[in-house]
Amino acid sequence: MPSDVGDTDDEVKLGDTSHFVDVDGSKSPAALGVLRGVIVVVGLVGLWEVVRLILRVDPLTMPSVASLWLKLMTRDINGDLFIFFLLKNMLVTGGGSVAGLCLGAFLGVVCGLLIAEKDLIRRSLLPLIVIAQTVPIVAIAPAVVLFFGVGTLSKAVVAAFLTFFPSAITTARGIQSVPGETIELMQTYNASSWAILIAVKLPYALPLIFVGLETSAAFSVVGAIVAELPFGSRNGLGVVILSSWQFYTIEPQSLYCTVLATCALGGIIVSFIRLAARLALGGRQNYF
Amino acid sequence: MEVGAQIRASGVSKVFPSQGGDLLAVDNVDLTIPAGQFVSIIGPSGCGKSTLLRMFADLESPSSGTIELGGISAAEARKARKYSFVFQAPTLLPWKSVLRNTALPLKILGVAKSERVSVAQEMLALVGLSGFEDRLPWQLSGGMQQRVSIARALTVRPPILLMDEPFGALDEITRDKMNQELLTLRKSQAQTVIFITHSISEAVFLSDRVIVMSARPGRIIADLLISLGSERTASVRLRPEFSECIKMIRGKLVDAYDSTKKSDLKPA
Repeated sequence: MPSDVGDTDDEVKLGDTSHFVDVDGSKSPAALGVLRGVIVVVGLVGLWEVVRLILRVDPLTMPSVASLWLKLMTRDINGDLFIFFLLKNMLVTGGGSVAGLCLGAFLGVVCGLLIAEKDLIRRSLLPLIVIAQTVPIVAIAPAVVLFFGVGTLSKAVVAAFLTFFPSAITTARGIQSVPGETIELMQTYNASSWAILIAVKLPYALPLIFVGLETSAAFSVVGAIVAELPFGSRNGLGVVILSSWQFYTIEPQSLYCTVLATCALGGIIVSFIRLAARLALGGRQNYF
Repeated sequence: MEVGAQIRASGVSKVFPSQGGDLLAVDNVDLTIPAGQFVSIIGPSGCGKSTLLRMFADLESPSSGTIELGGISAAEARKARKYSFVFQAPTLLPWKSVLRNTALPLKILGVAKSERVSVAQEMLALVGLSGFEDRLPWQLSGGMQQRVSIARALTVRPPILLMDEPFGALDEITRDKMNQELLTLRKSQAQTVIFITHSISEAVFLSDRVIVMSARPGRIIADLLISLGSERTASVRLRPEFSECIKMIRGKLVDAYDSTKKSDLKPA
């Protein structure tokens, strides 16, 4: 059995075709992973507190971890805990992020395919896509909200705008990374270009496409939040951030808690992408 | 016993357009290979021998001249799967098992799964890889990977095998072993084989006939029949005739390399 810790040890045993099931089923590395996570969190909290105390940082700039916890446990006028309030808003923002991620990733993968396969599209579309990346999304968010209204659609559109690029580029790169001889081999079998795409190019590109999706997943949360910043939104982490800005000098804990909630949301979406990658690729990371 | 097919090239030339003017890679090659013959083509690097092979496979098209495989054009032969091509790299799909890699050509052909599996298993047994069906390519050594690629080439039972330096990346001991296995394989498979190589001893050991090509532009400068008999084992390498063949081909190759130098000295 692999003696390594955590998720790096998905080594395929010789002759074992069901390797990924085996890896997911082994309990002790998972437990070690949790332990490692706890150690990292405790370490970060400790570092934060040590820096705060040694440098005597103003609590308005660096509130104590304990005060953040207390803030999470406070109740509003309706008697709801702040942590549940955050969770509710996480769900709202998360819906927009995931919708945008799906939309952006789908368009990105399709566009990446076209970029890799069609010279004309690569030459005409790629410069446009790259330049579009420099558009400050915060600046045009109001226009998007005006056009698509306050709600999931706007969030999805902005998130899709941010997630499109990594998905498209990694797909194109992945497809271009197929060895020329492998394509020629398929041609000697008289395989159609469609068969070559399905049987060779897409599977070759898959690990890289998942790298793009992971990057995109984090961007999608940023996109959804940006779409909540302009006028009109009532719910979502972006709205909570806006109101926390207003009260920052009185109570910085609210903003820090919201930022932590944002990180948690991004982490959850990235984990799902990783899970999907593991299911789709099995132990393939080993030989790429 | 698989039956071979005749290969014919008449007046075949290949010109690659390039910035400094057109590059003549293959110059007016006439070649007839009877069915079932094992022919090695040897020559200096960049002499166009791979280009010639790729034209037989319809991976390049000749600038002039005609190519026939078993009486039909190279393009038709490719569509009719008259040949299998073995590359220098094993070119296996890294995520597919040995069995699935071997069965790939049949899958593209649309052969039913049960038949695919049985043919692939048969061919893997031929190259001595029974029991390795479920392995993934990275779990095999370079020599074993190349054997998988040869098994894969045999699954469509092609009358012609085109091999582009298939053992070029292997160490010498493994290469000798693979050469021996290839000959053993040919006892049950009588394909016509064109085999590109850099190694003189490999060419002599394997072939019924060795063709020496000059430096660019590639022309046939020698065409030698190797009469070492059909029973060839490691001891053949120790026979005086074997050394004679090697010496003769080495002489021709030295001439070929000298012509490279002269053409390099000429102003472009």
